[in-house]
Amino acid sequence: MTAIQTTDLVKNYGSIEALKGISFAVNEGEIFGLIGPNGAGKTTTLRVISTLLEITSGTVRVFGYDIQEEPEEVRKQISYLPEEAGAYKNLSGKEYLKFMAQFYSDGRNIQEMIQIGMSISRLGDRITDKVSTYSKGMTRKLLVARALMMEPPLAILDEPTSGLDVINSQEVRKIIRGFARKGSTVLLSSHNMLEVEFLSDRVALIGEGLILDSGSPAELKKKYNAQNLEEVFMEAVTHE
Amino acid sequence: MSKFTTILIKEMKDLLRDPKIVVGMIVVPLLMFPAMGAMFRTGIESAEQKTQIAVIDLDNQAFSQAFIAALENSPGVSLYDVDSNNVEEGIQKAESAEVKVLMVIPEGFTADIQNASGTEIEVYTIVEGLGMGEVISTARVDEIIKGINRSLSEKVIQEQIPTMNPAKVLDPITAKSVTIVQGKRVNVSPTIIAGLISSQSFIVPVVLMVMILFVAQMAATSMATEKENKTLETLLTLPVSRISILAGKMGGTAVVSLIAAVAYIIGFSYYMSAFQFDSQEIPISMEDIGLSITPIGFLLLGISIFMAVLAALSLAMILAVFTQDVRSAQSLVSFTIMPLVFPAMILVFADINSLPTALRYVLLVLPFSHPTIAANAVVLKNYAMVLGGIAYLAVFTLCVLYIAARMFSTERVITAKITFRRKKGNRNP
Repeated sequence: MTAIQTTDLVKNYGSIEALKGISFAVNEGEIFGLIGPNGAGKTTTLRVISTLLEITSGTVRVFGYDIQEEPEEVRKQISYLPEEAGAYKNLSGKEYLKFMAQFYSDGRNIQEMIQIGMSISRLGDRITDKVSTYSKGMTRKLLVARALMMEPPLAILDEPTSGLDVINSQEVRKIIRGFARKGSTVLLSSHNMLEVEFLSDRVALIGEGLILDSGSPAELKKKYNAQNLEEVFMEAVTHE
Repeated sequence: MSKFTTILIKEMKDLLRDPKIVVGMIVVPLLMFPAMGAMFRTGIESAEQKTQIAVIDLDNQAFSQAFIAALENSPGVSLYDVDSNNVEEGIQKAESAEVKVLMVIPEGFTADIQNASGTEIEVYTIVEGLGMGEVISTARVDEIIKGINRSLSEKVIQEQIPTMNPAKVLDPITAKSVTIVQGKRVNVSPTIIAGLISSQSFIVPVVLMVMILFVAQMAATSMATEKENKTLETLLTLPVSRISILAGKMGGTAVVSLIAAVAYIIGFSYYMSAFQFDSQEIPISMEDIGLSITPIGFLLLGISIFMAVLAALSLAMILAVFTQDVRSAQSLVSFTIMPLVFPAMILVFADINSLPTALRYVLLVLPFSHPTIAANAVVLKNYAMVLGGIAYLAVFTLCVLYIAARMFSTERVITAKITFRRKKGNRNP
């Protein structure tokens, strides 16, 4: 089944065209990466699919649900991690996870979700401390745990390792891989193309609001005769 | 637990754990106002301590002795013996003994009173500071002289015209007041009734103003914190309706701001009680003059206040959506809500119907005037006025709620922004 189907997606902010008609499909169970430089339209694409932004034209379907017609159904399928996200500073890490788990409690065990979240976050005893005492890395790991603990059909992760050091970034990547192995779909964006290459089954190259090319990292590297996705991206931009 | 309740509880927990809110809006009013009141009380009480008065009696006859005896018997006065007949020496002695007042009774004092030719005593007051104590001492001396004057007058009248009642000679006319309120006659002066009504009509506008400002500030803080801490986007992508998010945030904010408002009012009433000294009990109640509030009146007043609070909450939420951080949200809300709330304070001093037409219409258009108008109207049982106000508030509140709900249902909750652009021409070179 197709997890996400975007067709001719256009998004304007006033007179600024952020997305100029992008189309791509994400299959269920795969990790799909959007790569491109800052300002290319990655975050806008993710915010549209997450039902935060309205589309100017085109269509987006998530597991068959139209994001404009059935946004509340779409929200039941997704879990979104914004690039610049925070947690409630006056709650403890555990309370934050509990607060979030309660929204997914329909027929599911809240305690089990919290346990999964605690295990993903790897915050140990600090999970009972107030979020205001966490470092940036700890907060990000808590947020990743929050996004994945309810095992949503689709996780939308915007720059999942944003602000993390090398060790924490590695950890988060492993977590995302493990999550996808359980059958969930992941749509992620990053300007770190090596990270996306490591994580993604397929990628789409995005620049100036347009999809430049898409395919598996291996296919793209072969097509552009490149060593890595960074080189692929530079080649794709030149071809445009 | 419903998703609305989950958000409501989180909201309360988050706000009540914020040290700025707990200290600034709950603890400080509870401690600061009573502490300020206690300080005032201590200052006034210390000023009210016995006033020491030194007297130089250059007359030493019947009336000067009677004067000194009356002084001695005056409450709050103790006499100090300067043991001198010289004014300058007396002042020096009084000053060194920290006695603030020196009275000099002249020679011929008794004779002048007996001849009814009038006399004069000299009162020297030593002022060392500008505190309340100095003012109270001076005021007390004036009161004492007034009292002694009266008793001396009575004494003279009694001596001169033993057949007459001195009190009746001094006050031949007394007034018996009958005030007609709402067709009911009561044997008290209109001043007492006005005092009674104003003490009641003062409470609602003040309490309401505090409540609305607290509610609006708290709602703005709650919404702007979500934006400032970057938690709003996540919240809006959860499987919960936007209306539940809005309602949960408004409910949690309302509960916490009501706690803060109660803390403020308790603290403020302690503060005000510091100024009530030996206040004479009003010899009549609102029930006696047919101005009590019926249960229906209370219900209508409650509905009116509830609507106003709801309107303030929604308005603050909408305004906060346009800002990016807590400080700008609080400023924007203050600038917007305060001009809507303050005009209602006019109604503490004047009835809506006695105001100039233009001002009356301005007050009727402002939503937050209506609970204050209702507070007076329910006393006078003018329920049509109250119901009209409730209907207007309901329409206003529904419009504001609708706009808030619309904003939460669209991307504007994320993208709306007020930018304050500086005009190029205004820049300094």
